[in-house]
Amino acid sequence: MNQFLTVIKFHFLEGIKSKGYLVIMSIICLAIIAGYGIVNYNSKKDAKSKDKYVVVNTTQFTIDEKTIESTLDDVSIIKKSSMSYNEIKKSLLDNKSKGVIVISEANNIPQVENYSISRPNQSLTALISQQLQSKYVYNIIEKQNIDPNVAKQLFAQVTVKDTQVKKEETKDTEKTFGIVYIFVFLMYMFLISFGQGLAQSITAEKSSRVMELMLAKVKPLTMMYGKIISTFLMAIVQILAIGCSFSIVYLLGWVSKEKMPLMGMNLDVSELSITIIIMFLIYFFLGYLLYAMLYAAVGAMASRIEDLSSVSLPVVALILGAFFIGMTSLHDPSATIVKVGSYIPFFTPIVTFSRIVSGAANTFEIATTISLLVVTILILNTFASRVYLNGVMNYTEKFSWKNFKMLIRKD
Amino acid sequence: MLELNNISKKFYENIAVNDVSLKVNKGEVLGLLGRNGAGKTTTIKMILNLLKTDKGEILWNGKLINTNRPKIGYLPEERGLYGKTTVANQLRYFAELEGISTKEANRSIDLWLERLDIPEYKNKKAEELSKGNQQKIQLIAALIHNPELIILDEPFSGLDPVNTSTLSEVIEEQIVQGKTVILSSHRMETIESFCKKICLLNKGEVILYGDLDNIKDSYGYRNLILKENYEVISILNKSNVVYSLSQGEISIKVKNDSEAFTVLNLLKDNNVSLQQFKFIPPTLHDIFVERVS
Repeated sequence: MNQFLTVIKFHFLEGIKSKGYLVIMSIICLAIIAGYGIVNYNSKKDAKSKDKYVVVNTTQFTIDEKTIESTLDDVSIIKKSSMSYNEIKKSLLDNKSKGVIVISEANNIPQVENYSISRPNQSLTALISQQLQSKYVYNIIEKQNIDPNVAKQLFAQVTVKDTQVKKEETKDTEKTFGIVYIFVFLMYMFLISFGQGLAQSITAEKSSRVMELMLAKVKPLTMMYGKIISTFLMAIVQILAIGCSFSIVYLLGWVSKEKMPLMGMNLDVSELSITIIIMFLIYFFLGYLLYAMLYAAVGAMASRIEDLSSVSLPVVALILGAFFIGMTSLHDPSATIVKVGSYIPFFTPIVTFSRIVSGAANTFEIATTISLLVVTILILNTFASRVYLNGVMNYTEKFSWKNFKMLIRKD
Repeated sequence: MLELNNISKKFYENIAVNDVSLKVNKGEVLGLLGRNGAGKTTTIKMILNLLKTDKGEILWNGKLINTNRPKIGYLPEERGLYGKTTVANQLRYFAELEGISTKEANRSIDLWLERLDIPEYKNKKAEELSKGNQQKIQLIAALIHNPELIILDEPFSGLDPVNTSTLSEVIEEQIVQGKTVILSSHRMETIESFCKKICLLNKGEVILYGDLDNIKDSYGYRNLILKENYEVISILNKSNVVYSLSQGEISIKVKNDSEAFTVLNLLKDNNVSLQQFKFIPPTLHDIFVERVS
C-alpha cells in the first residue's frame, strides 16, 4: 500500500508541476474568465450606448415611440416633421443617426421608407409598420362605423401551439442541450487528453529505460494503477480549476445560473442537480478507469513515442464512437443508436450520461449500464494487466499487432 | 545466501533458461557470463521475481525468495532516469519505494552524491546531466536503500577511466560490507578483477560454474607465450607445433609443464636464444571464447 501511495504521490506531483499541464490549465482558466469578461463588458457597453433613429412622420398616423424604445432597448428615436434627401444622407454619413425612417401617405395608406448605410433595423421597421397598420385599420373602422365587437373579432389572433411527441418521457432537449453538450465534450476531452497522457508517460518510461530500474523496485501492476490514479487526480484538479473559473465568473456577476452563454449555447445551470453531478462523477470515474486501462496497455505495447499514435488508434476510435453517439443524443436521446450505445460499455460513460441528463434513462438502465461497465472493467483488468506486464518488458523495434497474442499470454 | 536450484524458463517453444543451479554466498561476488541471448537477463529477472520459473526454485537464506524477499539493488544494462525530474526528487522516490523514510532518504541522497563527487547536481534535471553522471545516479538508485543482494548488469559500460575507478571503489566497498553481488558483464577483465566465482551460460544452460582459479587450474592447458620471432615461427612450423599469433606474441597451448619444456627444448636444440617466455593459465577471455563458440 505504501508503495502504491508513493507511486501516486510521485506521478501526481511531477504531473501537476510539469510545464505542459500548468500552461494548459492556465490557458483554459484564463480563457473562461477572459471570455466571459469580454462578453460582459461588451453587453454593458451595448446597454449604455443606444442607436439613434430619426423618424420623419408627415402623416396623420402617429407612432408611440416610448413603446418602441421600451421594446427595443438599444434604440433611441428622434422625431422630425420633415427632412430632405440630402439632410437624410448627411445625417447618415456623419453618423448622427443609424437610420432614418420616413413615414408618408399614398391614397390615405401609410407607407414606410427606410434609409440606412448598413442593413436596416428589421425589428424597428416591423414595430413601426405594426403600429401604423393598427392605426390605419382603426381609422377605417371609425370611418365605416363598424361595431367595436366586430372590430375586436377581426383583430383576434390565430394561436399556434407546438407540441413535440416523444417516444419516451424526456426533458425539453432545448433546456438540457447545453449541459449535455458541455459534459459530453468535457468527458471526451478528458478521456482523450489524459488517456493519451497516461499512455505517453508509460511509453516514455519504457523508451527512456527507466522502466528497467523501476521494475526491480515496484511491481508492474502497482506502477500501472498508481499512474492511472495519479492521472485521474490530475484530471480532477483540472476539472476543479475549470469549476473555480466558472465560480469566479459567477461571483463577479458576469453570468447568471439561468443564463450562462457558452460557445454560442445557453447553459442552463439550474438544470444541474446533485444527482446529475454524482452520476457524472460515477460515469467519469468508471469511463476513465476503462479507457485508462486500455491506454496503459497501449502505452506498454509501444516501445517508442512515435509508435504510440498508431498503436492507440483503436482506443481513439472507441472514444470517437462514444462521442458521436453522445452528440446524437443531444437532439434525440431516444434514438435507437443512442439506446443501444448506452448498453455498450465502451460507449456507456458518455452516452448513458447524456440520456440521464435528458431524463431518458430510467433506474433500470442506469443500474444495468453501471453493472455492465464494472464487469467489463474487471475483465479488462485481467487482460490489460497481462499486456502491461508483458509489454513493459518487451522491447521490439516496432510494435506489430501480430505480437498481441504474445502480450496477452499468462506468464 | 542466494541459491538457484534447477530453474528453467520457456517462452513458447524457446528454452531461455534450462536447469540452472548456482549458489552465491554472503560477501561473495558471482560473475554471470554468456553471449547475448544466453539467458543471463532471464535468470536475473527470475531472481527479481519479474518472471516466474517454470521449474525449480530460488532461495534466499534457505527460504523461497518470493516469500523471503531481500532488499535488492539492481543496476540494469539498459539504463534510464526520469529526464524531467530533478536528481533529488527521483532518488527520493526510488528510496521511498524501498521503504526508506523521506528524512532518511534525504540524508542518504546527500551522502551518496558527496561520495560520487556530484553534489552540485542534486537539484538539476536528469536530462541536463552527462551520460557518465546519469550512470552514477543510476548506481545510487540501486544502492541507496542499502541492499543485501546487488545485481549489476554491465556497470562500467560507457564510463571514462576516472568514473570507472570511482565505481570500482564503490563496488569494492559493497563487497567488503559483505553484500551478495552478481556481476554480469561482457568485459572479462572486469569479471576477473571482482569475481572469485563465475557462471558461464550458453543457450540457457550452465556450461561452466565454480571458483575461477580452480576453473583455470583444471582447464586442461596453459599458454606458453613467446615473443614473435621469424626463426621461432619457422621451427614451430617445421615441427608441426600449433600456435597462434596476437599482438606480437606467439601463444602455444600446452597441457602441462613437461609439454612446455619440450617446446622450449625444441627451440634450444635449434639454437634459438629466448630472451623471455611466459607460462600462464588461460584467461577468462580464452575460456569464454572457447566454451561459447
